[in-house]
Amino acid sequence: MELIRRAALSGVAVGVVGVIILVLANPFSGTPTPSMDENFTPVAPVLIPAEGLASGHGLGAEDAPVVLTVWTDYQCPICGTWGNGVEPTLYERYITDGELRIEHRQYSFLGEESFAAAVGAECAADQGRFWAFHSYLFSNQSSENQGAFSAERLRKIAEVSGQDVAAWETCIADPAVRAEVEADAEEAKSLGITGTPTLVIGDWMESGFPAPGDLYTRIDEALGN
Amino acid sequence: MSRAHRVSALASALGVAISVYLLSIRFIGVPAICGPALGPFGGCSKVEASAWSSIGPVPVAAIGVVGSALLLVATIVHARTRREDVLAVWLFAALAGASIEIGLIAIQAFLIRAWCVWCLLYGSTVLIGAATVVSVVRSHARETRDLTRPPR
Repeated sequence: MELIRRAALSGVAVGVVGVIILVLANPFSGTPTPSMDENFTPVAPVLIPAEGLASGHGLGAEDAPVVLTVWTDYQCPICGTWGNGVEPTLYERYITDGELRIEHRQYSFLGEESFAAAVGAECAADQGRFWAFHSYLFSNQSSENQGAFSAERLRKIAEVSGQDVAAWETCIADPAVRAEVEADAEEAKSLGITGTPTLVIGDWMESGFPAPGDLYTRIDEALGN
Repeated sequence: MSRAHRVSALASALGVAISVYLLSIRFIGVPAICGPALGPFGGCSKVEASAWSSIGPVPVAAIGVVGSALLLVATIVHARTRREDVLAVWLFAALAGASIEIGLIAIQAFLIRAWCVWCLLYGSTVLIGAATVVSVVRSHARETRDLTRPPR
């Protein structure tokens, strides 16, 4: 019975240490969670691209030899991991060298706030500031359809991402922009895309995202390295 | 296989299934069956997007897969062999898992302030598993005491 007693004590000890590590260590390594109270201050994005590297719906030189198309929903948590974690890595590794361009496509399907966020992003694109708005969206994700992308919060994101807010508000009220976002979602479905994020390089398409090493290999192969 | 072993095996198998599902949501990106329709328990995306859903690069769901699989194997091996060292491993894994689960439930309540129905279901499988192993340990203790007691 001594063995059993020791197993019980060490089991509880391991569990308690695990919880302490999780509680104490992680908040310092994770992305800050945006506040959901009334005094919403948007969390700044991890990646702020150098001048000239963000254009249209893309990040990277327009004549980059490899184009990675990414379909996302702004409320999808794993897309947030992509936007806040993987894109900055690719930026450092390939985009600043002019080897890769990431093109963003909207596949909004998680609810009304996904559509509202995507419409806001399209209106930011009209002002040539798509990427700033897009990055702020991923940095300020929270529960789905619980107000994280409410009209008021999106307006604050428009402000901090440098939009002409009056023009942006006129744009988001235009039903044609919403129709564009819905057409994008239909296009995603017609391509057989069933989840987000979905990555496309040439003929290769994958839902979710591969381990960093596999993704680098895929990009390196496309670069002919 | 005793009733306690059957309950533990079922709970652990369910735990493996739920944690594999949570892991597939994270890596494949399919939307979780969750959301406002589940009322207060629909905060899956908030829990999943929180800093507490992984330890460094390791998702908590992956630890769940390994933990529940270990509990399942320990349950089956103990049911067949009744070895005390296997019971010790089973008890160790069950109590470590239960302590972590209590911590994770507290994290959802006080730090994330959102509940994820799948995380709670997974937690229930671990706590039920821990309760059953404790009952097995108690009967093992009784049997050991009876065997060592001198005959009257």
